[in-house]
Amino acid sequence: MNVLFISLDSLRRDFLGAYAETPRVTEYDVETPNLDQFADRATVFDTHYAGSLPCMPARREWLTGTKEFLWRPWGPTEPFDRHLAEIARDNGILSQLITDHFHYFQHGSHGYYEDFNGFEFVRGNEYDAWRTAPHTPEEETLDQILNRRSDPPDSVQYLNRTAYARNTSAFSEEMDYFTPQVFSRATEWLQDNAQWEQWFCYIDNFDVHEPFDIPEPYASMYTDEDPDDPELTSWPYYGPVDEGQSHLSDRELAFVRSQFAGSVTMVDEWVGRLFDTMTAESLWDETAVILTSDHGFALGDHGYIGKNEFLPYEVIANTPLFVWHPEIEVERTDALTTAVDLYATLLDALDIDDESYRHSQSLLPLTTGEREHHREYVMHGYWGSTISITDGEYSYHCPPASDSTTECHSTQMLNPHSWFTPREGKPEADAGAFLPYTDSMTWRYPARSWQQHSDERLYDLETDPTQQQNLIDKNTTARDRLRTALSDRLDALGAPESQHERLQY
Amino acid sequence: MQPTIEYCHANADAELRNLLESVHTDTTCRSCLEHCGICRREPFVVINGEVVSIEESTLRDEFPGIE
Repeated sequence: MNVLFISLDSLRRDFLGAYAETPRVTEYDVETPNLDQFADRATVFDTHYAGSLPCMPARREWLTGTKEFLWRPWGPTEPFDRHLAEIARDNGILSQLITDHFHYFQHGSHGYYEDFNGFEFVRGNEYDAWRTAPHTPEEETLDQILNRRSDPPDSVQYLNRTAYARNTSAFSEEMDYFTPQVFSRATEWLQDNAQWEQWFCYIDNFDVHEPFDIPEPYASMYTDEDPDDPELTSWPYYGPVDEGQSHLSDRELAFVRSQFAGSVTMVDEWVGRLFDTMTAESLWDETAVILTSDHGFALGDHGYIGKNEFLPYEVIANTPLFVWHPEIEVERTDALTTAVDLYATLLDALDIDDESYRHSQSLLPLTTGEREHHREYVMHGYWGSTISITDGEYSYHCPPASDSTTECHSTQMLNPHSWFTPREGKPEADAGAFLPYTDSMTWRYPARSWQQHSDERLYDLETDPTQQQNLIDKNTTARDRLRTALSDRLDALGAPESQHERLQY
Repeated sequence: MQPTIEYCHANADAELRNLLESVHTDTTCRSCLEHCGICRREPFVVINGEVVSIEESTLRDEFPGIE
């Protein structure tokens, strides 16, 4: 069987008709007819969770089956990982990556695209180091996306938002934008590669990640504002919406929500065109299609915009997942599943069963009705920060001690926190065979933990799905059960002893 | 009204943290303020949404109202 794997970055699931009629943060419905139609065809996973956060850690889970965040942060694949595309090659299966996800090509994120037989990289999204001209992009564009004091157009500093303005300066119509480019190339790839006996195609679409710069008709679909109004930003900073750099007025926040919604509908349109090609090429009966996202995106939820700066609430961690294959029998499942399980699922769909799945367990038996339950608990989080655990009924979130350190384990000397700038040497590192899932040596070095919050949290997801009431002192039975489950799972995975110390367990 | 002062977890070394403690006003540590180019180059804070280089000016020079 062929496998088509689609990831849509930052797609919070309440913007999809399959999960909610109306998003929690808007008073209007968001049009996603093609994704809804696919959801009708596929098994819809109602209790699917992110694992390692954010973008690249999620991709290491999907592509190598590694629950990463207990050992290291954002970084490359490791020499002891078995990448899906490598395994596909070893089994005579063609593999292809089509993406505009420029993080694959940034500092410290290598190893994810090299094993594919082919890859298409649509240039220019977000900070992609691509165009260097025009020297001074249009004033109106700059006004919407940057502060000239922190991102001077004449500065060559890393992560200057002017890069996006340059990359998109020649854009004039929908086809110029990233999602149309990614999905039209994917459509062509499906049409051009029919002669291969078996293939694995991974479409990694950076939208609906910010910046929320979208063409018409999507830009005006959910707002009466002028989408080009320089007083309105399409690229908000992460953080609280009521103060500091990330402050947004009600009007600005409403505009950001409308552009996020427009981006979702644009992505839906182009996914639909790809699926039309699947139908035209008669591919559905010989292709498994798995569609998901790495995490959500707060749009004023809990007082925040973005992610990372606050604990991974459900809006971030409870992600969409749809799985289609020809033998599917189950419409929806509430089985508790997590991102790392997609690795074994993709191998299973490719009919490869001779691999060690590391931390991953195939989800296909849930789609055929062969099994109804999957995991008792799942953990998620950012390396160095809060560890969260849920059983699908309660979520428990344990922050690190305020002055604690977290150990980083890698064959590379990764920057623990500054992921996008050149790596720095680690004179304090020692070396050893520290990881429970490989005999390989790695470096090990400490870095300061980061507190997304300072207090333990417990939420009842059934009675309080938006996680407003902290029950940590009110439901000690659930608290103690999840505390124990977290400690047990750290032990079962062979997590570093220092994880217990930093969590004060 | 006190300004909102934010600083980056990765950027703030012991010297900057001591300086921030000395200004006797609330400061907030963020995971990343998305100014990685500046962060790599020098200590900085964000005051009321504006990046302020600590090497170029002290907090009091920039915002005399800080207590």
